[in-house]
Amino acid sequence: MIEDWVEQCRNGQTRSFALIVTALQDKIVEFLYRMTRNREAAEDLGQEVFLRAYRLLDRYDRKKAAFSTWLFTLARNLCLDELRKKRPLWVNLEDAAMAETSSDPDPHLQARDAELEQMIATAVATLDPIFREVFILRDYQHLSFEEVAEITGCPVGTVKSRLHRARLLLQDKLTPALNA
Amino acid sequence: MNELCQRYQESFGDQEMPQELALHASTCESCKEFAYRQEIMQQALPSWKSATPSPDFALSVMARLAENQHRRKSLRDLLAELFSFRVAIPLPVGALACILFIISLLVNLFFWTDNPPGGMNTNQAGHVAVSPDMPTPPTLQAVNQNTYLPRIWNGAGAFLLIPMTDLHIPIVPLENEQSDVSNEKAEKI
Ligand SMILES: [Zn+2]
Repeated sequence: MIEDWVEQCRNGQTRSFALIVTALQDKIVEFLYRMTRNREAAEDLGQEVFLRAYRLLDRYDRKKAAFSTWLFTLARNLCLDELRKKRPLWVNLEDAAMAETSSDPDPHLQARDAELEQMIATAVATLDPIFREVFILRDYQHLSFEEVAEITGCPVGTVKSRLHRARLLLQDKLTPALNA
Repeated sequence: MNELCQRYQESFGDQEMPQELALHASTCESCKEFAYRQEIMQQALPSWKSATPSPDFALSVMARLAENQHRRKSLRDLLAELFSFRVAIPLPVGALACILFIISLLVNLFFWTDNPPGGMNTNQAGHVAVSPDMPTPPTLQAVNQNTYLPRIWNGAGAFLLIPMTDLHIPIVPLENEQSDVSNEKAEKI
């Protein structure tokens, strides 16, 4: 269905692009948020990704990859560029707001949830971006190895070894606390 | 960690994991430990809640898109207005003109003499000198060096003219290639 909307956009029906944005905005903003740990940056970058996608729509080849995969590629490239530029800003880790998002009515459980969330987010943020992106795309976005390979421009073997490395690093950071 | 361990752990969570790797994991302590730690971690991962886009995210994107398109259209219209009048030079005439121009510049470049015959005094190097016996003063040396600059500019100008031979530049407005602006004006009329 998204591919049809893309065709409509190419034929000048700009309104179809709104449907594409609505369908894919959650995935893209989520990916960007997990990469940057900054809600505002994720939203801004997300908008930029869609604008860039519209501009480069003629370059998209449906035979090579799904539109969502292509969009993730744009998001990933933009995000890595921005991370290189603004890293010190974003490493100042968010989110005081995290604690407020817990829906558990028990204050103790709420505090524990918030602590766990903070712990995972911090551990993921310490990963190098090339490991982080693979981990997020695979373990949070649940994309296939082939899709992750397409997005990152690496062979599947490299994706697998990067994911393995990321998981081991996270296990070392998180397992003691999780077991406790 | 042997090769099977590596392959099993790298493929962990893959739906299409080969049978031999699954079999290996059931007997390998290292892989069992990895799987156990990974299971615990996978259970904890959803605790990190995601950010959702703001409710007006799609609207903002579409508004910015419209703004960009408007800006691009304005620029295109401006350019269309600027270039709605063009000068028509037939290709052979343009090419001939350029060739003649380049030849004249080359002649100019190689046979240019700084000093008119019987004019200023020159020393052996052909430079302007106050007297034939005296060396060229530094200020006049600078003048002599500066005479090369217009030659370089002339050469560059010739190269810039070359693409013009490929242009059809009509003197009158084109009737068949009306710009968007003129189309819009025509519709209003
Ligand atoms: Zn093993």
